[in-house]
Amino acid sequence: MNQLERNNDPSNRPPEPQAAGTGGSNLNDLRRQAAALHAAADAAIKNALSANSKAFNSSMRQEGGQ
Amino acid sequence: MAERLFGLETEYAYALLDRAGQRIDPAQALGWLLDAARRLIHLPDLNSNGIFLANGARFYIDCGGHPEFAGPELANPWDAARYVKAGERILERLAADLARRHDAVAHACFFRQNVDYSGTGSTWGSHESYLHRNDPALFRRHLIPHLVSRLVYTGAGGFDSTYPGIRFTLSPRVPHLEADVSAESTRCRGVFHTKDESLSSSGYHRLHLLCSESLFSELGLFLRVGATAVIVAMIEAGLRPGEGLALPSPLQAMQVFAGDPRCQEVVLNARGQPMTASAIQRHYLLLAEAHLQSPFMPPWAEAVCRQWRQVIERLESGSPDSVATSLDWAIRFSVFDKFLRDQGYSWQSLQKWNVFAEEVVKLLPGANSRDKAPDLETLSSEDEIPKEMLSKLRPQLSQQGVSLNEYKEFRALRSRLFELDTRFGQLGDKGLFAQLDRAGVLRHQFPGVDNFEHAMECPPATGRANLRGNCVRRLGSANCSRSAYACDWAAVWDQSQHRVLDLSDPFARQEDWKTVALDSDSSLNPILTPRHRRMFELLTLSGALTR
Repeated sequence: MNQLERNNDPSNRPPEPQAAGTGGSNLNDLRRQAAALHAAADAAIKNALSANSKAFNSSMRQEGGQ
Repeated sequence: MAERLFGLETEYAYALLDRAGQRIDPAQALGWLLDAARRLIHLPDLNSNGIFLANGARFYIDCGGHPEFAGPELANPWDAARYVKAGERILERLAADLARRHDAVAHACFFRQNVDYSGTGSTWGSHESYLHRNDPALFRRHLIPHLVSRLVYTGAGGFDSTYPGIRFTLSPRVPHLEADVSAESTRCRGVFHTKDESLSSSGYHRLHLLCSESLFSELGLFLRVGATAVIVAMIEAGLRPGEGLALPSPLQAMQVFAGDPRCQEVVLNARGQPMTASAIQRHYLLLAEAHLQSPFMPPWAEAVCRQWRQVIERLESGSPDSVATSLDWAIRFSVFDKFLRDQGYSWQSLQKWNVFAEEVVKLLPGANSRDKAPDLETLSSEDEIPKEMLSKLRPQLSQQGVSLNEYKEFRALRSRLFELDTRFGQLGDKGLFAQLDRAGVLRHQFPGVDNFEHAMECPPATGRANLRGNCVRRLGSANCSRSAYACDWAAVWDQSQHRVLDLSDPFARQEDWKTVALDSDSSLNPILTPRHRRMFELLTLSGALTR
């Protein structure tokens, strides 16, 4: 697809996944996906979480929006 | 097939941190951020200190002092997700620019965050706008059951920031909604927002929704906009999709659905029939599928309905596991669930602590105020607790069979979970979602939601956003005299040549500048102001604008 000429024509769209997000719905697949997610999450949390969460939450204090 | 237009706004939380990890004064930070944004190709925003960008979007500092991207008007749900991602990347680019230019800035952090966990009760929105030409009063009745139930795929997930314990919610904005219907946006927010500011010529209306949240999932973004736009099209065409779905208390129903990751809770409709969120969604879906060939349907309706059906079926087949890698709330739930178990807790075991936390709130002064939520987390010993308070707490501790130290651990866990939720929404490499996505363990991606670099620089292919964006691209570079121009959603104003590009038709396809015939003694200032805009408008009305 020419991205400079994007339009609404559905024929220009790439094929959609049969089940976007699952990649298969059987239990074994879901378990395997969950295990991979959790393993990656362990590493990501170690990388992201500060030593003092309370202080972090307070430092993020702001007014918010609508 | 009928074209439709819609748009998404995203409010971001932010913090600029210095070398010592301290937060830089927010006002200073916002000034630097705006300066950085003005180094992009842009035209000044006529109505604020913000700017319009080459992709047709508006970037500005909104009330409450937070940066906001209001995306361009879009004609399909692929682009809805694509331009949200583009806005995110523009912000990441600005963050890098800030850190490079200002020695004081060690980290410029932006968050796709939905609630503030410091006790302010603040929340950030991700608003939706849908163009239509029908009676706005019709939408309330037929759309509310959709807004209440769609959170099973549009919810961002997170925690109830107003609750003293730990309560996961599919939709963290829900505790901040206080009415079924409201015209307010910063307080007493409603499930359905009645604002109708069309920003277009007469005959058009803009349905404005503010009950939802910022999402990362491309599937979630696609479906949120796609399904809602299809329902808007049906209502506009005279169908009554909400018939039989009326809920006695929409807000209460939303609270029930938001609290159930299994998506099996039911609420009673006005006829007393029990309905799950999925059942309500299926009702809308069936009607949409039955009208797929109708001329009022947008060309992409079939693609939306296909995904809509798949997601409903997956939710019914085993939520939350069945959507744990594809929808925002379910990804968060899965990650937090694992973290809880690693810390020796479970959602079930939290209940005891939640009951105790609720009791503590009742015992302490200011317990009913969100701003004064009691916190025993930082106390090092019972000696620091006022005697009167301690005498009230002890019977509760004894009754629950817990110690103060254990309660402190619970409070610390609460703070860690809240930080995790905020980190989930952090833009850039450190963000939890970004890390998981990079690790290849998520399945939220959606074909056609791609080429973000292009969407950062170029407008959508159709409608007035295309004309606006191309004007900005042509006139808004540093070597152009862009101060002679100003922009808003419905026009581009050229001060130097006394002309205006009227974009009040949202579907405008041609760049049609009109010259303004001005008196020679006009007091026109070189810088456009709202006063001048009003003058331009008066001139337009009086027919002074000529082709």
